[in-house]
Amino acid sequence: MKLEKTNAQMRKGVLELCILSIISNKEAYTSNILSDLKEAQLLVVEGTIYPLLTRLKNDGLLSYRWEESTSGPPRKYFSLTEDGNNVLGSLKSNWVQLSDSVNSLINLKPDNDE
Amino acid sequence: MNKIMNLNIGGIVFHVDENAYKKLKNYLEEINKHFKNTPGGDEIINDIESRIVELFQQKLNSKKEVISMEDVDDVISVMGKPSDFEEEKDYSDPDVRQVGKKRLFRDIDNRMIGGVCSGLGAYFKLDTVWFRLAFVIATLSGLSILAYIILWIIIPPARTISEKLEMQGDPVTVSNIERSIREEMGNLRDKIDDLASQARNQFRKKNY
Repeated sequence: MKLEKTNAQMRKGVLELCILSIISNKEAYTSNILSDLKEAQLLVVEGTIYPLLTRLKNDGLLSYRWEESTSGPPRKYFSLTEDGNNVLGSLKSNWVQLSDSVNSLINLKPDNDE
Repeated sequence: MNKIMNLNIGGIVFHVDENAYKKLKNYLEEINKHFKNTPGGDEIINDIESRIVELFQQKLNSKKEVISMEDVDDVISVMGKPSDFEEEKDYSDPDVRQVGKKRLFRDIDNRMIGGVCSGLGAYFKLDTVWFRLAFVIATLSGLSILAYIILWIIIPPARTISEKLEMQGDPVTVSNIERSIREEMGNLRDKIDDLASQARNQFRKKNY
């Protein structure tokens, strides 16, 4: 139970970075983002993403346009704003640094020679 | 066979099995309640509803026209319950239960007569002395005693801690309430100390 909570916290931290970078590759519709995130096992329930997208949009990192769909309700296609691009850049470099240090830390082997 | 109900989600009407209808309705209401008070809540609710519509449309075809209990359970497990959206929760400050709105109270802790002037002072964030002075000057013109009595009657006193916070315009949060209680306890302790030292002095005097 507690392990699950820790895992969720970890995912939460990187979710924004992942959403921004999915959208930076191509203009994306919520379902695209969802399937990419689920494939990467970064998302447990879909509901989590909606408050996040709305917040990123309200913070001015994302913008969207509506597109009619032949098979359902109109879809929101998201793209990054200039601010979003800048934030993505700094999040990315931060992530590389963080993952490097964490990897080197958890791969430290205990000294068994002596 | 159960009754079939019609349910409108995001402007699209679905035929839903009666039991499934109840469950789905509860679920949608739960989501509504969860996001109603968050910034951009309406937009989030709309987005979630559109997604639910999409998921249902994938399940329906020319042979299957009614949403069943299974479909609803499936959609709920994909979307998750609002309590599963926890990952998002930490972004908002859970400490603020209520945005601090300012209200006019009589400040009976700092009163001279009825606490009207001290209450006005707290409300307008001005030194109480200006309101007292104004009333004293106005008294000379003969109007202000009546005005004071009317204000005394219509402005409620700030009795509870949350009312005192509202009087000063502080948001009513757990930590603010805690701080107020501490301050009050401090005052009480001072008073007890005063009383104790007075008693001691009295006692000493008697012994002389």
